Amino acid sequence: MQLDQFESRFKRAAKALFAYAPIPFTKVLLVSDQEGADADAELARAKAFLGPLGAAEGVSWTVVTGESYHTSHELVARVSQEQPDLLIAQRSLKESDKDPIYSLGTYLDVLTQVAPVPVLVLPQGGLPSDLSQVMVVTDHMTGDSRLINYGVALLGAGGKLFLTHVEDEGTFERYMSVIAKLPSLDTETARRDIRAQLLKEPLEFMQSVDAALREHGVSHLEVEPIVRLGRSVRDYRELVEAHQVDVLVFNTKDSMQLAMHGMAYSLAVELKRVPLLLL
Amino acid sequence: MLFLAEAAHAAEHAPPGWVTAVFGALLVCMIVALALEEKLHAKKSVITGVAALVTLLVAQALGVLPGGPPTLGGHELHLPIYVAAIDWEVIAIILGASLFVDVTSKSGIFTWIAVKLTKLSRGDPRRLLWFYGALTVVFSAFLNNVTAMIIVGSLTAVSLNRLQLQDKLLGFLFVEGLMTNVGGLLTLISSVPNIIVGNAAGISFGKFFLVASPYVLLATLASIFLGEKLFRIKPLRDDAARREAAAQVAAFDENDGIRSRGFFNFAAAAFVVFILALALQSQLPLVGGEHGLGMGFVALAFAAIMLLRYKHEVHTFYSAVDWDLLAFFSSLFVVIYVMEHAAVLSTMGQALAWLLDRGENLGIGLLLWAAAGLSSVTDNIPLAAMLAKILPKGRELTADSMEWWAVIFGANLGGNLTPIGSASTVVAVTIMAKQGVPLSFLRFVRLALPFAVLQLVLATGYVLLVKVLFG
Repeated sequence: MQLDQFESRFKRAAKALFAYAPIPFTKVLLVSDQEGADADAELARAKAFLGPLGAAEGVSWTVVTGESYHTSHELVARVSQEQPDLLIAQRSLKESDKDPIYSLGTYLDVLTQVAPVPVLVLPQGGLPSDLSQVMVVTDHMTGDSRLINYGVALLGAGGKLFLTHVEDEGTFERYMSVIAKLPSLDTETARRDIRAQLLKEPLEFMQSVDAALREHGVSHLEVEPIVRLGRSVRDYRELVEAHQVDVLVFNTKDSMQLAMHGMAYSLAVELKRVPLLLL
Repeated sequence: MLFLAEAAHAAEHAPPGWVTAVFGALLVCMIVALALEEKLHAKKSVITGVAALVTLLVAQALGVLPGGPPTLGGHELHLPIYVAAIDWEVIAIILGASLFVDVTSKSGIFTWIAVKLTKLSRGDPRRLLWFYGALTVVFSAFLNNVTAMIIVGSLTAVSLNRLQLQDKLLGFLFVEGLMTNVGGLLTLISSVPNIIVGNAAGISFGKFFLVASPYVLLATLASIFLGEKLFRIKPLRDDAARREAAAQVAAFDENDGIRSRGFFNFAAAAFVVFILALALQSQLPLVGGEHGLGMGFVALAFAAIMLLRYKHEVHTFYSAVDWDLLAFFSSLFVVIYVMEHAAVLSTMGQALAWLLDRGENLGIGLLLWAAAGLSSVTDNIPLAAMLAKILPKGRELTADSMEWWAVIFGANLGGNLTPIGSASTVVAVTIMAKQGVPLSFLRFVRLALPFAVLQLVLATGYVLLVKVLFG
């Protein structure tokens, strides 16, 4: 018992810290379902929205027009051939229904799972006037610095980076209801300590972001951690609206290919009016 | 207290040989049962408790025990024999010190020290081994061997996993397990054999430290060096690996376990004052001297002071006390008391006399190795308790006699020969198994042999050197 107590104390003292690593964008690929001038106009809108990245020198921009692919296999082959650092595509690519229920569209569904690069999904209709507020959903794994580094890479001077973690209340309550039936565990202590630890870990990780960015001379943006217990999709929708988020960043790929079967897919298909960077 | 008062009675009323043989057999049964504790699935306190019940009943039936109530300063005490037979000073020291350490550890001070040292190592495996080895010795000296092994062992598991040095876990935990018994030699309160033998010999806390510390330093350096070579624990070679390791350990937060900075500072100060009070106890008014309140009072007083911080939840600390250990000691004292009156101890003393009669120096050396051999296969506490009673029989021993030190060194270091030799090596093996590096009995002995031989050779040479220089 005492052994376990000390092991827990040391495990708790071993923090996950954010590691800053700049994201080098050298090649961006816009996948369009338009042709000619319409495709060029789409590229111009995307570059304008991306602000500093859109205007950066040394970044090559390529457009894959709608005629150059007719199946998802062809599109994946083209992406593999181009090997971009970032893929940009509009929601409901090449779909007749531009406002489908609960789907990103056939092509994007494939790209988000197969393409080995981040995919920036732009909403149908207008884009935000500028990109100044980015929200990163760090739910999948505390300690995933890559997500945050992408969020940082999108923001220019004066930008605001929201780091969010919503611990699922339903799952928490389910475990608490089991603990409440176990005489060997004190229910109140378990509820208090587990809740505190669940929220403490992501908050500490987020708090390490500001220090790491300053250490590397990245001081042009503001970082705001948001950690709470709640209903994931509902709470994220509220947070996105409340903070007028311009881009939402989250993971959709993992080694088990499960990310898009959980909360990520719900977020991706429900938040139709917000640009999404899917990693 | 009863032993001295009734030593004369025991000598005058020596029981017949067959009675001594019966009690000798009962004693052997108890020692064998203690050695087979794990197989029997019985706690130590249950084994010695049953032994105490049986020996008391048999002794009463055979008229071995002295009649009449025990006396203190000429006054009769209304205490049953099985209460008066217990050495309450030893119990008070163990109870007070363990409560004090338990409350103090809540301040986070021990984990703070351990994490701070980990960060100082910058994640270099060789530096980490030396730091953890030294830390185990210091914690064993001032806490107790088991707590020291739990703290350093669990930190070792967490930090080596973080540094992805899982292949070094066995070497680290093994060396730490052995260092607990070296650290257990440093002070009078570092281990129970020290308390028992030190009390019997009349060795003060300060004197114990002065005699033991040079050996502990020497054995620590030699043992960690041997561990480094045998387990091939080398420093990191390239800059990238050093940077990565430093970053990994830098992410440890030593302040995470500190709930109250005020209590942390108070606990740190109290710990220093506690050690000073023990060191100077013999000189302190009211508690020092022949009729003073004693070291047990000091330990209990400090425990009470620390418990004031948690006055509303003291019951959690009471329930954390190792009652098995205290009940084990109490029963053991009763068994030894009966054995004394059944002349078992004086018979064993004759065998010991044979050993010591081999020559002044050879006798002490043989005593040290015999104590080590016996404590490697059975509990070193009953061994120390019995030897502490047997040793003065027929000899004029003083607090300076090196025979005491032969027992102290042998009883502590013998625990390093086998995985069942001491409670702290059992903990080390438990952590190894938990971390997926199980160690069989024979492999433990094979790995431990060079360490144990090195430590015992050094101890023998040291004891004889002290005897020549100061004897």
